[in-house]
Formats: sequence, structure tokens, C-alpha cells
Amino acid sequence: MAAASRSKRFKPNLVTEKIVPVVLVLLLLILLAVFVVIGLSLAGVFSAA
Amino acid sequence: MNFLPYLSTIVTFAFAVAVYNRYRRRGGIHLLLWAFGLLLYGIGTLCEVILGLSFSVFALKMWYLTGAMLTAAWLGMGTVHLLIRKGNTAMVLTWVLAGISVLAFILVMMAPVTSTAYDVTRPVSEQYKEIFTRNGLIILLTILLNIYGTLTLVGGAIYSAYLFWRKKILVNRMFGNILIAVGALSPAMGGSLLRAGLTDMLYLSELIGAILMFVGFLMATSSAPATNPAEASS
Repeated sequence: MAAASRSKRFKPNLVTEKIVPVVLVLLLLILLAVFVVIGLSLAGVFSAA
Repeated sequence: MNFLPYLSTIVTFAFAVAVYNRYRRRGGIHLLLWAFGLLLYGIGTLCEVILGLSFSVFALKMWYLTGAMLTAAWLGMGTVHLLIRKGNTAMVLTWVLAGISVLAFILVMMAPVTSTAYDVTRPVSEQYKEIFTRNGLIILLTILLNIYGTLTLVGGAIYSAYLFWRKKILVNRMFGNILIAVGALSPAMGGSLLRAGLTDMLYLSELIGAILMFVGFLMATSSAPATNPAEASS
């Protein structure tokens, strides 16, 4: 199992080292923004859900 | 813009068949639940097609039930089964969701509809609030189901991508999960913009979401079968 994982390892490059974590954080922030809008809808700031 | 639901329906049903075929080959309840969630997604976009041709109370109610209430939750339920493999937590949550889905079906089918104001040339997402009277419980369930579905589906894909990135393994699954997360966020953002009354891009966001999730799924499953079930994300 460990050998299988090792054989599927990828070599880090600029995209996987620097850009991927930024993209993941960005996605988390967008997810948070979606929840904020849903929460504001629940609070009645917008007309309805 | 009304051709978009046709494309979304084709893409989503093809996606559902691909996921179901993978379930038949490999098993795994998460794949079955994803296929079910995608079937709901496709039914929702198919109802948009029908409602673009003529008005139907049943199509309107099924559109709301599947598209607005159940799709995200059932897709997220598949991710819960993928990520929580110990104990019976995932199965208990599945039965709870099944019960809530039955309740949602009853509530939506009982809700009154005023068809006189319906205009087939406008997207249903623009006008459903004017013709479909939702009580407080329907609105509350819609919000809770969407929070649960978006959190589990998008959060699960981001978490899976993070694990592959941290371990530096299976680069195709890392990028596949990123695409699934972006694709799942697309209709969630479309729905949020609609709720906020800012703009109605729901049809476009549904199509983009279906395409990105399908590409992400194909990318994530393109390699040789994983030997470790924990690696078999998506």
C-alpha cells in the first residue's frame, strides 16, 4: 500500500507548490462568502431564500 | 439564455450515467449517492427545459424540490460516505436526509401555486417567488439543506485536494477535486446571487458547475484503481 502511494507521488513544481494552496484558500473564502449570503438571507436582509 | 438548461440536462445525465457505471464496476455507496444527486440535478434542469416551453405546476414544484432543495444535500451525502468510513454516522445521516427529503416533497407538493403570472420567455428562477408560495418551513429547509450540501460537497473536495497536495500523491485526483470544488461552488454562488437579488445567473452557473464537476470526476478517476480506499476520493 505504501509502495503504491510512493509510485504515485508527483514531483512538486511551481503550480503544485505555490498556486494550488492559494487556490484552495481562495475556494474556502468563496465557500465562506456563500454561507454569509445564506446567513444574511436567513436574517431577512434579502427578500427570501 | 434558455438553451442553457438543455445543455445542462445532457451534461448532467451523462455525468450521472458515468458515476453509476463506476458504482456498478467498483461498488461504494458514495458513488451511488452521487449518481442519485446528479439524477436530481438533471431532473431540476430538465424541469427548466419544460418550464421554458409551457407552464406546469408539477414541473415547477419538482424544479424547486430537486434543484433548490435536494441536489446539493444528496451530492454532499455521497462525500460524507467517502470521508467518514468508520462507524455508522454516514448511514444515520443518510436516513435523516431521506426523512427530510420525504418531508420536503410533501411540503412542496402541498404548497399553493399561482400560474397566471407565469411567463415562459423568462427563466423560472426569475419568477418562481411570485408564483410559488413557500411557507417558513420550506424556506428554512431549503437553507439548511443547501448549507449542509455545500459544506460537505465543496468542503469535502477541498479537504481531499488538500490531503493529496500535502502527501504529494495522485496529482490527477488533486486537480480533479479542485475542479469538483469549483464546479460545486458555481451553482451555489448562482443561488446566492439570486437570493441577494443581485443578478440571475442560475442557468449559466448550473451548466458551468455540471461541466466542471464532470471534468473533475473524469480527471480524478482517470488513473489506475487506488489500492487504498482512503485514496479513492471522487
